[in-house]
Amino acid sequence: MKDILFNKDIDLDIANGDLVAGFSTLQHQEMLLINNKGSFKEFPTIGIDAFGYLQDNNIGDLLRELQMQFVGDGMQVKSVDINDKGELNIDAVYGNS
Amino acid sequence: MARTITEIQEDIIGRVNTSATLSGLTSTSKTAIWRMWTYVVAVTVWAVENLFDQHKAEVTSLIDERSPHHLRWYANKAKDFQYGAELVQDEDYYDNTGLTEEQINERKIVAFCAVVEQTRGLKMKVAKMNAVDLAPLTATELDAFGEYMQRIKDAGVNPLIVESRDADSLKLTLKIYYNPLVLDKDGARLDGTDSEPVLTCIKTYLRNLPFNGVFVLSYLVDALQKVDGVVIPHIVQAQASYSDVPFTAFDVKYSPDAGYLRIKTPKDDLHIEYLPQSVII
Repeated sequence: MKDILFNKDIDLDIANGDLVAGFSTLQHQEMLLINNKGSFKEFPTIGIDAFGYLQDNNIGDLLRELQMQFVGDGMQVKSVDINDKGELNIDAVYGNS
Repeated sequence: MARTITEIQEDIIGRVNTSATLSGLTSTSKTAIWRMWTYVVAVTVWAVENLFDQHKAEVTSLIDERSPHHLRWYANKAKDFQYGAELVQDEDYYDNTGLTEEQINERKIVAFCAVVEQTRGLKMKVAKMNAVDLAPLTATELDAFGEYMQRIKDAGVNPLIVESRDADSLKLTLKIYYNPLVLDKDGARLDGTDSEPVLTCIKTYLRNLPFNGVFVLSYLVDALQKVDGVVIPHIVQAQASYSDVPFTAFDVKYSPDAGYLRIKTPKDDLHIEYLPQSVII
């Protein structure tokens, strides 16, 4: 599944005077994670706002929301968890990718 | 009419998919950038289309208010007349809120209208449709219609005569040379499918004439020529009359005073002499 890609500053990635297109699954996951609801005007209900869970004691809420949003966006979520170091591990792919 | 955002976006996506350079963009994610762009563009296009709609409505109303009224305007207005409804105060249209299209059409009784300019003022001829044929408006209907036209007409159009008359009467004397293999001596088809094919043809021809159109004898001959079994149609005499005026003969053409003409009593008004004639080669 391909889309126009961002660079690491989340700005349009431009190479040789043109937009860069490429496999975009990770980018979609990142966008869903860092944006909060209402950021996407076309679909105001999408967005997890992971930063909003920073002070949260119960990581289950974040994982549940994440699972729901990813499935809602067309992904098959194989596993998602947070390890002891606090890193978020996601294994999810789009059904048609 | 402006399209909806979804329609516009689908159109754009369809074009992206068929484009050679852009068809690589296949992401279906709700966060896909290319899809968001189609949405952004669709919203702008939608806004522009709506602005154009508003603009058009504004310009149309300006034109409506400014355009000088020609004869066609009177004819169109006559057809907009709604029997039994009150006009909007100081305006020339009706308030149809809450009415269905059918109800409105039921109120519109004027089916045909011809407007004729006269030395002074205008003359309007109108007719309504009953089940199968044209018919004059009743006296009450005509009163209401007259009042309506008086209220909406231009200042200075005086007099504005509104008429709805019964059809003009037509009297014909014909000689029909017929093919004895198809018709009998009374003009009936030998196979029994039609006892008066000539009369049927004349009636259809008169009915199909345009409202306020000119009745031309040689065109009627052309129509009669097409009747199966008629070899030579010959019009010996044609007469017409309107209201109480006695029948007067005419040679070539006739403009009906009521806007349409009919053979009212075929028994008295249509004299046909049938003469056998083998087909002429």
